[in-house]
Amino acid sequence: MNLQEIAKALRKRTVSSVELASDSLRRIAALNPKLKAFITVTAELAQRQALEADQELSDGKDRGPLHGIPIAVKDVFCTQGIRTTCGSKLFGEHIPERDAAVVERLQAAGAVMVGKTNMHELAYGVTSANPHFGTVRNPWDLDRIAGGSSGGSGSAVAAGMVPIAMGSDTGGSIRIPASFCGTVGLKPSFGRVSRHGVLPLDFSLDHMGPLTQCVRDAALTLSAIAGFDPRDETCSRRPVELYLPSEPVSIQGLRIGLPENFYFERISPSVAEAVRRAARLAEEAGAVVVALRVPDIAQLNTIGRVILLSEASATMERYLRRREDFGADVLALFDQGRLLPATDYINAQRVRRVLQQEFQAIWRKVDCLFTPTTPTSAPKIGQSTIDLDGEEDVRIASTRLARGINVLGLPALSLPCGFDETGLPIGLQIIGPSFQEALVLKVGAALEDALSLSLQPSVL
Amino acid sequence: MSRDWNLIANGIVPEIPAPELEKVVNVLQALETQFAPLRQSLPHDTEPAVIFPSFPSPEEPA
Repeated sequence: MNLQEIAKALRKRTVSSVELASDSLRRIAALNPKLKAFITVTAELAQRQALEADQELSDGKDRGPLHGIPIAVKDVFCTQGIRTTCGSKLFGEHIPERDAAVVERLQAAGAVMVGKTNMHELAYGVTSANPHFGTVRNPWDLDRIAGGSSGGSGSAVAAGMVPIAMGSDTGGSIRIPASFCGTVGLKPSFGRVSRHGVLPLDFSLDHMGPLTQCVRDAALTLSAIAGFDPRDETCSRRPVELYLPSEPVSIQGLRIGLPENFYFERISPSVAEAVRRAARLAEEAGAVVVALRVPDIAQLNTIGRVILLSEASATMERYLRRREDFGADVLALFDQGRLLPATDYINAQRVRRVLQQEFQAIWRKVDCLFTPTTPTSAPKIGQSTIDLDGEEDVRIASTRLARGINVLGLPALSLPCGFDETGLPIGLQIIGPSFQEALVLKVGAALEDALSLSLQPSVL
Repeated sequence: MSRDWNLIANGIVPEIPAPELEKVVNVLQALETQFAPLRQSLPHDTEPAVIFPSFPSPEEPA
């Protein structure tokens, strides 16, 4: 059932929030030992919030579509009185005094929090092979990674533990687990969702957004969490739109760009075919598919790495003498960032401005772009390279099609668009102009309807 | 002129153990190869995108 169906059932009293929370907690208890999707399960809190949600509905107080719905949040979001580890030994006993803005908004919308999801250590990586809290496993194949850094959120949603889990995305960390786990993942525009109360990795690249079972659920979740927050100076005052597409969804006449360069190079044939098939379906639904060249994404990725290495190391510098408290892969990234000169960081931000301006020209030609989210389906746990016309580090390959969009701050949605030859899900990335989340979600919903995929992971 | 990352590391972060330093240096050398042409081709008057996004919409209220 999607959120709208669950919301109807709650209001008809054919199901209660307490029953939904209990189902969710039972499923977590059954599957989490295998999947390692959760770091902390908040069973008592969930039961209390669910009781309150049921009582409020009985009393005629309706907080909207998330009222009484079980959710999870990545363990990077501060939660008052509940341990928030950021997947790190450093914060293993960190108990925040306040909730993150996103958590406040979810609670105001009546959501019921069942727990905090596992992640790549400090949100700095794509495997979610966490040395402190266990390796998150992919419900489609337990020997494969769930992606990262929001791997626990992807795994939890794919396995049906919760319909919604919040993630953060600095270089693809919502979209990559969505692609590998066969869920929807939405990275909103920079400034659309408050970052207040989220343990930061990178001040100018971090974005907050949901992973969900379908596009319309992502739209409803964004409606609950988006909007101005004076505590985050980068948060936009732009009014929040209606993100749930009106029915029937029409993409008649929309111009969809299909890049001729970069995005279809060095990717697996099954991924290329699935994304091109999605473009054909969009065309059948009335959209106009436009082949076009995009600005140099390799350049975007390069400056994205310089900016991330520099800002992340600056953020964490005070902790870096405690080398034994970090996983080896994360520590190596912090070491790299400490060695980069300040001039490189400034020059990367200067190149960023040039590329942002170049990319703006695309939106005169098309309304959105279709690309693959990741070059392959989920790699195996422990796999260090991917061979696509030459060996490439699995971390670089997995972020290659996603990272640049964080540098631009644009909204991007990943949704399942097919399966590879081994039955693993493939992600389609829809990228739109700044603050055009409603358009991106509308196109995503139309594609989801047209594709009509059955997404049942093997672990189920 | 390429940078001597070992020298930089010894000056800034001497605590990096030698085997780890070798990997760090290899990554930075590869990144430097990609980044150097970009920074060298920047127009002189280009300012950094320090205020993000760098293309505020005219309808954005103050």
